[in-house]
Amino acid sequence: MGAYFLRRILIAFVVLFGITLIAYTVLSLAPGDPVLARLDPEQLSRMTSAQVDQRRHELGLDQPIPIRYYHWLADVVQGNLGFSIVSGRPIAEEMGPRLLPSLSLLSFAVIVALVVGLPLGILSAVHQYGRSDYLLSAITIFLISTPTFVLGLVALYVFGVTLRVLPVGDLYTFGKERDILDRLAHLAMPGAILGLVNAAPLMRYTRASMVEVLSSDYVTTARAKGLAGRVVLVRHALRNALIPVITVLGYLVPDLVAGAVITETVFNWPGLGQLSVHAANDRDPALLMGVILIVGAAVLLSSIVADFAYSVVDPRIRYDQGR
Amino acid sequence: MTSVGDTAVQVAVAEHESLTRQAIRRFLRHRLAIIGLLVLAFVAAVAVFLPLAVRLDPTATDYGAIRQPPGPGHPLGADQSGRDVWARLVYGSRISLLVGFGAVALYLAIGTALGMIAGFLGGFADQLVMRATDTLLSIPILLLIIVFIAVVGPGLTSVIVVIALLGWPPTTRLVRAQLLSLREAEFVTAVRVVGVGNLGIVLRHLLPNIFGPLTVVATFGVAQAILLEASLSFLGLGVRPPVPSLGEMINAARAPSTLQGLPWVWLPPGIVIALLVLAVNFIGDGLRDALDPRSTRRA
Repeated sequence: MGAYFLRRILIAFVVLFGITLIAYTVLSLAPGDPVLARLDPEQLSRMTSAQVDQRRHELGLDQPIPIRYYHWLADVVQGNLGFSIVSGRPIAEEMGPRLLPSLSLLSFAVIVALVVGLPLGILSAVHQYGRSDYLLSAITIFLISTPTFVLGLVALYVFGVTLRVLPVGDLYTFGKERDILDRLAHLAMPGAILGLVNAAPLMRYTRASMVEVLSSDYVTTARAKGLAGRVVLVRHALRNALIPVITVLGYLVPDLVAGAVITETVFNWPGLGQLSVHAANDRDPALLMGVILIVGAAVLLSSIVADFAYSVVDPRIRYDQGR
Repeated sequence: MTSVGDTAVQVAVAEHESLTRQAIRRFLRHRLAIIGLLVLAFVAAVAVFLPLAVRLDPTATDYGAIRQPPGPGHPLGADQSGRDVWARLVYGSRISLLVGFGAVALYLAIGTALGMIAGFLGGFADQLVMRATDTLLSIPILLLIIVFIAVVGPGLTSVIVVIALLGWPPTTRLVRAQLLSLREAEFVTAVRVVGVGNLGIVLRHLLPNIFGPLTVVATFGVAQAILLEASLSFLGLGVRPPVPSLGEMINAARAPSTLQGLPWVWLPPGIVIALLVLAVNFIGDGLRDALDPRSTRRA
């Protein structure tokens, strides 16, 4: 098992290498002078153009792309992500304050997705082909087909500007930074929208998994023993049906992150997703590389964690049999 | 000898026809798929043909009609610069369909070619293609699209090309997996014995066999591409004004005054996108049930 996860982690590093290499190559083809993204603007303002050329040579920016990528990678390993060409600040300073808002949005969304998706998926499976099953299927496909930003804007229109029960954006009300209830109120709408959108696929998987378990022999056996329906459902079926859902949660992380880019933009939520859109509009290569690196690493890590949790929960899973 | 061969061919043809007819029958039985097909056909007909029949100008600004609610002259109202919402909706649907079908057509070609290379050649080519596929599938595609758009700049062509350049991995995976199992089939050995080369086997004998699953993947791909274009245009990274796009129309609602005061500007495009994607998804469901005999109805 240790060997399996060691391999998974190594592969994750290779994949991260691949993603950043692709992004770096593409960004290097963009018009603009990359040396500006590598120098502290304060120093830059005191330099002559000959000095800038010399720095360009020292930084290796007159070198071919693979060598430049190597230098970028060497800098990253030493904790230097470069400088934003727009604000002139170090990339770590640009991203740092946005990590927590993004993480809180994603965690809240995952909780909503689980609280909504799991019970409704189970309900759907138990009443397979019943009226509630069809209704829930209809809601699911509606949620999958409607763009996240349309749902977000409708929610903003209804709860934000018409009923005025929830704030329309930002992290907190100005002057109420420490008010936890105020912060939760701001989190409620973006978190709920992102959560609901991802509850739909979760519900589908839960339903499919539950339907499969409910038709398995041991459930029939448990029923034949005369156990009450609810006991069979909770103690025999549910425990087994929920195990694959853990993996699905891992698969959902890329979707969650993509959804966060949009939700953060709709609700003016100062997270990494919003930052990536700003960075693209500003054509800020170092900032885009930073976002790709951090988000890519987080997504890969979450898929490994999901696999690991799966193997812990399900004793039937042995990743390296025969060793 | 000849007569026996002829009979065999006739039998094969008859069986083939009945398989196709079976698939069509299965599709027609899927009520939601039929509704989806009708909705898509209706939207496509309006988007493609209406501008040819009626004069609709999505970029003309009518200063007398700025922020005008739905009514005479402007059936769906006018936006903050006095542009007709109905005209923009019709032209926006055109863009949505163009991106949806255009991008998917392009990445089907890329994905099928790469999948055939990986599945039939194997070895190093297979390794290279599959590692690239895994890499692209392991990160949110929207994020990479944003990086690409930052380089090439927003615009209609950019959106189509970038979605095509990054959207091929699922197709590749499917084609490769299908080829790997078909490669061992007896009819392939038979064809090979007759002396048909690799390319001939793949193009003439294997490709027609994966046409079904490929169609299903392509249909869901169209739905996804329509959503992607709308999202990108909403983020200001997709189709640029003055080209009217549904996502770009909704982008106007990021201004609180439009969100609150002009719901007729951003709500209709939202409904049209949802309707289009829903229709295409239903068609995909129907095609999956019809073309893939292994998948049971709504498992």
